[in-house]
Amino acid sequence: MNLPRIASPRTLVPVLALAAGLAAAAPVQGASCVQGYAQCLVDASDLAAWWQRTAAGIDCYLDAVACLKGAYG
Amino acid sequence: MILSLALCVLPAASTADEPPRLVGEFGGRAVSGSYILVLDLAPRAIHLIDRRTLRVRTTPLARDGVRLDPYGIAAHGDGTLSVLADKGRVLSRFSATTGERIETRKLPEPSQGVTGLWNRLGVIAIRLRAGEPLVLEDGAEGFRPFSPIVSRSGANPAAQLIGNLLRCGSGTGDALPCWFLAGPPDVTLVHRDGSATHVAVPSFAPARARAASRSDPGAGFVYPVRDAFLEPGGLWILSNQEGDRTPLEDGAVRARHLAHVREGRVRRIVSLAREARAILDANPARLVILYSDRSIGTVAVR
Repeated sequence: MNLPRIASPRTLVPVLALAAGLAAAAPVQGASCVQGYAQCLVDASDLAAWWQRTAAGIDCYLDAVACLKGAYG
Repeated sequence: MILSLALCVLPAASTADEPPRLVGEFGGRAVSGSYILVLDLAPRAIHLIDRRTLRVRTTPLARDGVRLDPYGIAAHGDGTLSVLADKGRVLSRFSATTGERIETRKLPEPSQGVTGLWNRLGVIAIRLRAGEPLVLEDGAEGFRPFSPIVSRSGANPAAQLIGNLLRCGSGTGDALPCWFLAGPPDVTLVHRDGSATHVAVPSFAPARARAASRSDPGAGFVYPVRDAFLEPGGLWILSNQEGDRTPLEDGAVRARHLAHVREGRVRRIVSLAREARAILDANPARLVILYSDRSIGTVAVR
């Protein structure tokens, strides 16, 4: 898996979230996992060091996987 | 550490009034010989259910400060079992009889599931790109691809994430059923040699998903299958989404039907009075069902 690439540059993460149509969307119950993922990525992008953003970005993704598996499984 | 054991007996059939709630937070199940193993995450424990009598022995699992994941169980033939922990980063092995933690392994990459692949351990990888193997088997030289099941592409990161959620159910000596949570009603039977065959299964969800909305990418999929249990007489499927509403939407109806598929044909449909969570066991006479209200009951099938 190549998870670090989702959180490397400071600007990439919120751009990704926006491209996915996530960050700008209004929260609704059915999308809470994905909304949480988007917000998590935005928060991760605020961290100071690249390695912190990388680690936080990986955590965001794994949290989203856990949330979605719980929700849809 | 002192570990306590609790014994109880399941009712022969579920009752509508006050079913006993035996499972706190369902984390997965495996069938091993004459027992069904159910992973409980709250409180963390293993329920060993005798397949014949349905007597339950509950063994608390040792605490190690790491949260276990509800990503399934791999039962080993030596009385131990493996579960994932720390959001799929770690594999923990426990004794099923004492609850003692025997081993903790950091995985080379995070996983979304663990399963038994006969005498080996298998994990379901997390993928960000299409075309990568999803089921991996543990071998002497590390994890290697097993089966032709590969990750799918998605229109955006959220769709990619949802579209690659894969589960594997309970198998036989010949095959293991695996399916994508989101997508068409189709179960892949993975055989011991790594080959795979596809089985179309009944669905109670619409044939086509709605267009995905910006506010809910998950609405762009349908979720036909919640669980699968392969037994020598055929494949039992627990439905997931029923009707237009996806499982997270208000008013959604899910997991109210069981279907038996054999030789490509639907042989039987069983309606359930309440939402089910998993098929714990299946034989020609009855099914053992875990319901979403955390109770366990049996369903006669003939």
